[in-house]
Amino acid sequence: MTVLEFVKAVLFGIPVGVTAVDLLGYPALNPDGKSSDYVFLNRLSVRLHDVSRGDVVSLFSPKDPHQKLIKRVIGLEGDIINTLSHRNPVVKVPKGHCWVEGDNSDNSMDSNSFGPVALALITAKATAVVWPPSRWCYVQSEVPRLRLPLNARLER
Amino acid sequence: MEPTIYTNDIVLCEHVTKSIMRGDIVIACSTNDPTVNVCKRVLAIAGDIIHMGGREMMIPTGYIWLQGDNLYNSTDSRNYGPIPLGLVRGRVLAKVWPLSKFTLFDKNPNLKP
Repeated sequence: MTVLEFVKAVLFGIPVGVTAVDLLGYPALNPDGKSSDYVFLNRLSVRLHDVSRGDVVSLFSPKDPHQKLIKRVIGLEGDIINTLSHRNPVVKVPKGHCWVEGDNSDNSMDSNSFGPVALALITAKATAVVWPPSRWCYVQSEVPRLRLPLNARLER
Repeated sequence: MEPTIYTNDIVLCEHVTKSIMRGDIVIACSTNDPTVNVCKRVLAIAGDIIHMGGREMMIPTGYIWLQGDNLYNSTDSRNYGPIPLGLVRGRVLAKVWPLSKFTLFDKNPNLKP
């Protein structure tokens, strides 16, 4: 009986896993920038348009549709961002867009170089680091305190 | 996209081609709302120069310029600027419904920007 249940679980689990989960390395989010991790990508929550501030997401680069980036969402539509190296020191994120940044802000191609990105370019949300085993953890959904949008700082 | 495609027409769309050319009709996600798709004609691709209100503007790499065929009533790149290629869902091949209006969009009118 238990064998049958196990087989059932595997038969059910494999298609779900293949459709909802993908693997990708992400050196851009490692603060030291040396090692690369593999993360689980959850495509379902993006299909349901469930993206919030602080989530780590993978997206198509707006400059090159063949390149995929993995960045942290800093601000959603309507947020006012204090930019780092953008041509405007303060940017209001337009409707349907978001502001993404890498955690390694010195060496990261992010919204500071190409501006706000359309939400439709986001393909998946990173939920957990799966490789190497020493770094097994869930990806925390939080914005670094110094990078919070200006309006979110006022709300606090 | 009137008079080429009307509301509630059904079109055949392919997701294989990665090279989008001038004059193609594409379906893309709206930049203002990720839940909405738009159907527009590609007027210019990266490197082309567009004249807008007396100003010249070059389409940056990885972007395209979309415009509806119904120029007087269309919300398109004239409102929101060039859109990234990553937003393009697919290229429209043919209009299949209503059957009496069946058209293949294989002939590229090759509009000049």
